Amino acid sequence: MALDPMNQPSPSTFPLAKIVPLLRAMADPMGSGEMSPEDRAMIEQVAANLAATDDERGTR
Amino acid sequence: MRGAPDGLLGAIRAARDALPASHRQLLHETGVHEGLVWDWPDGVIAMYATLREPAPSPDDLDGAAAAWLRERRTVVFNATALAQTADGLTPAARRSLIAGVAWHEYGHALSVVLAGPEQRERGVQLLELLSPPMREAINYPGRYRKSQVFDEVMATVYALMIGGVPINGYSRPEFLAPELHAAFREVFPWPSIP
Repeated sequence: MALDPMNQPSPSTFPLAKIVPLLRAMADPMGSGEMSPEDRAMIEQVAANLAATDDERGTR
Repeated sequence: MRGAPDGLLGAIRAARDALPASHRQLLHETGVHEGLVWDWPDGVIAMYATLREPAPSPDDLDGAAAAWLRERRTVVFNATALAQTADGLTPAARRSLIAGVAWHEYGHALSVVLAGPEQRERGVQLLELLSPPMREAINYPGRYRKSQVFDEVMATVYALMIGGVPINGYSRPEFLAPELHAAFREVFPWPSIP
């Protein structure tokens, strides 16, 4: 189907790259540096997983 | 979209079930659905092609964890990427991860439906009132147009407010500026607790 740019939908997306910042904000909204060990471990694992995925895609 | 062998869709629906009843009702009344897409972005584009409608461009969907498809009133989640992101997490951490993304997306969907143009004009102003970690979670300037900032701010605040209910109850949390809290409550029905 040929796309007419005027009619092409523009979805609002939540980037993978913003998952870690969102999780950090949820765990430590004021940025005090304090968060539970469980939250810290989760965020570190998620960050590592995203970095590994980026490496696979060669995007960064 | 296909089934979710690893329970991703179950985790997303559990996050929806955890929302206040009035919010679940609003999502239902406005016809908001959710779905997993495993072959991202082709699966999203195929949803439009099946309906013989113009589809978003692959570039618009590139690198996304999820997307709100206004025309379809559907939140679609990038299942493959989320499954990779959740790899190695404990079941509780996995639920927290998925809930965070899902609450953000449901908050976004509700904001798009409930907020008016005058509220939306205040997006950049409200962005400046966010705490630094919250502002860091919004890619502006960058991925969003100025007109989209309000809904992104509301989505981020929503995820934190819903996630914070077990700790803060329904009162204004310390991390949220009063003006921002007021803007949030103009959009979302929220129990009035001093």
